[in-house]
Amino acid sequence: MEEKKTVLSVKNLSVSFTQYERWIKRTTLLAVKDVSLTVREGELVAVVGSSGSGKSLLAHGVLGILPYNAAWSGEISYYGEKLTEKRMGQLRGKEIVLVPQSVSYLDPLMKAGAQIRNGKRDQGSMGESLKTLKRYGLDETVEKLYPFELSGGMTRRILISTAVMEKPKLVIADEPTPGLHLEAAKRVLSHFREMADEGAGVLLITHDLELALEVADRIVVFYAGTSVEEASASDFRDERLLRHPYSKALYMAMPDHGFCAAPGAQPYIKDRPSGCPYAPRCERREAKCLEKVDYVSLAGGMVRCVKAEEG
Amino acid sequence: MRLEANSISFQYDNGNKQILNNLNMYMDSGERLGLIAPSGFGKTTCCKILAGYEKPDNGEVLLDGRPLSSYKGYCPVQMIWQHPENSVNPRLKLKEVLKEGDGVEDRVIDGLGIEPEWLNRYPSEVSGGELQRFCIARALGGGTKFLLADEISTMLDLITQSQIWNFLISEVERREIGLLVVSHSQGLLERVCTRKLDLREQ
Amino acid sequence: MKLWNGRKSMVCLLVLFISLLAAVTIAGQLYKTEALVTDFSRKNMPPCFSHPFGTDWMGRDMFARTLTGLSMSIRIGLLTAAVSTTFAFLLGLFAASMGKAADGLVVGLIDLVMGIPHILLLVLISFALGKGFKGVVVGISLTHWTSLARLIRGEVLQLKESQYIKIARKLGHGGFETALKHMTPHLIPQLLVGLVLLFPHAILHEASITFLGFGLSSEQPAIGVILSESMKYLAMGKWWLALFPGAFLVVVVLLFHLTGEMVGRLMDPGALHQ
Repeated sequence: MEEKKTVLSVKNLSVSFTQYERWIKRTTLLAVKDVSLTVREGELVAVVGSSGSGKSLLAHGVLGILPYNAAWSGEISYYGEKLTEKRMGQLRGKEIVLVPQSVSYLDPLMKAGAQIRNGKRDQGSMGESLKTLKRYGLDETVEKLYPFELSGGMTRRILISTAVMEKPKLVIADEPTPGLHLEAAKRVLSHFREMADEGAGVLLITHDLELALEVADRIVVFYAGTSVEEASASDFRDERLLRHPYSKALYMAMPDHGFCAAPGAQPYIKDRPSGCPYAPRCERREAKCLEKVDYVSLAGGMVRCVKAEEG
Repeated sequence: MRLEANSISFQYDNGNKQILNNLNMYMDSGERLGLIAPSGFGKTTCCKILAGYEKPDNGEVLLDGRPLSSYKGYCPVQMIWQHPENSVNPRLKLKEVLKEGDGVEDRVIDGLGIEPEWLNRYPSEVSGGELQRFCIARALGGGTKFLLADEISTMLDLITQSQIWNFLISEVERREIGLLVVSHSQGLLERVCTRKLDLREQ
Repeated sequence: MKLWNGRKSMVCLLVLFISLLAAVTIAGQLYKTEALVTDFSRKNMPPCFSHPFGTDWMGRDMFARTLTGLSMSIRIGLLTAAVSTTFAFLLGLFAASMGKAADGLVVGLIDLVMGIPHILLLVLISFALGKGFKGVVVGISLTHWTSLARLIRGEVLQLKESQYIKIARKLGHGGFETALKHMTPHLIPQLLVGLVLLFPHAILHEASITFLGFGLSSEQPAIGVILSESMKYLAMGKWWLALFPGAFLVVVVLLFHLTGEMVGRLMDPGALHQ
């Protein structure tokens, strides 16, 4: 089998914010710490973490649209080419597209059709946009609607249509499913699966592990602003195949797998302990868990745990 | 005690389509009712009406045979919202959030895993999961007879979700509170609920 | 805008500004008698070492007169801004929380006051009250509350719709209690900034109506009086009579304006990330 090209490679990405506290104290908040991942052609990689774990910042970092008080370090490359912020700007919206989280990304005063075509009016784009809509189960009447007239599921499909019009090579979807019922959410995710099957790389950012497992090839588990494990989706069939204690705990907490809750709470990013962020909650914690823990390859995935190799 | 909705209809002012049409439902103390419906079917609206945040255009909500609006002071029907960050005042410390509730017991605070050091922080200084625990604790004051949970664990990780639900199940059983659960997760509803209601079949 | 590398320097600057303004106010009080002393042996002197701002046609020291005038202006500014702000707060709160009729009344009143040119209304009120200190203070207080009241009303209306306030009501807390506990932390910064930014307006308007002859009486060494009296001597080449008082009035106004801007920036949670 021929080796698939790597579309996106992120190495040791960290994102920090400077902010002020209590009037004058300036602090730096390390929101995303040492994250690495790769997305290959035809692959759907899901980044799964709860709200506030910094996963959206990862997407914004790759697109070069972090807020002005944020700074990032590490390496982001696209087809082997290191990305600078300028280059991100050139690729953004053309080869790399974002399917944003909320409805508010649509221009409320512009009809859906025009938004999909990005303002173009020539015959070719007209036909193209109609074809795209048809593909997602919408018809030409939708083109004439304003965003407020669309339902949640329709809006998501419009946002997707807008993204695929440019035939992107890398699609980043930031929380595309909240507010949708199960069937609609599954249908939206299946569209991302199709994009991947047609050869694009897809990075799906979501809080919903159960949904992600249905479509993704690989899962990156986010915890308190850092990645603790990268596993293939099939590893989530069995607890023993998982590498990190947090992923195992996630597995056990699924309603279908016992609904057992490990104690403790995911910390606010500022309280994240050095070393393994899960260490304070981990049953198998040791002194060395509190020091720097590297993100290493293991059994076809990645893990940030000193005891992972012992199984 | 019984919370019931009698032929409720509701439509938002902005002229959009009818959200609820002649809905009849009830729930009893100690019951855990799961509400199922596709998006756009007004699950959140239904919760808002049952908790008295919105007035139905037609029909009425009765608690123990009396209209809900006739209860003054602490409302015995409390709702927990999906986004905790909108549910607390960003300029008040979290201990103030707990004080807002109707004498929240230490047992509830401990049971939800709220740590004392979080109390002196502002809402922007804790994670979403931590904040949602405060919102749940606040809604579990002494006067609460019915609790409406609108997708309260959607944005949290699965461990936090199961912690919260395991606690809520034991707490509502202990106090004979009626619990309405809105969630898109079939598995969660299977685990938590004693009865299910599909809005489409109404 | 870069904030002079961080908030610390901003706070230092703020402290400096406030102490400068306080110093001027206190110094003005100390020079009060000095400002009225006439000495015809030293009349019409241009600026020199013993009289840095020169002296006027009656031999009064312009430095003392300028400081006293500024001090007077600042005190009037302080008083009127405080009264206006209180007025604005109460009316804004009243409008937003007491139902439609109250809202209509207050909004109508705001439009009415805003519709009449400031200076005209000020002159009318001051004149009707017999000019002098009382006329100026009442006049300025009654004309400057409108924009802040409108701002407060908008803020309260918006806060009332927020989820956490609705939740507080369901948790059995009364309207007044909720307003006090939940709204004050949001409104105080707004009010403080509004207060400081009202200063320059109040000071300038005091000077203007005094200059026009409808404000403070001419025995008082107010900036407006100094400027209007100096008009006839300007043509005779006595430039220092108007330059120093005028320039320092502008400096004081600027200091207040910058102070207000900085307080606003420091208190604005949206600027937290700067």
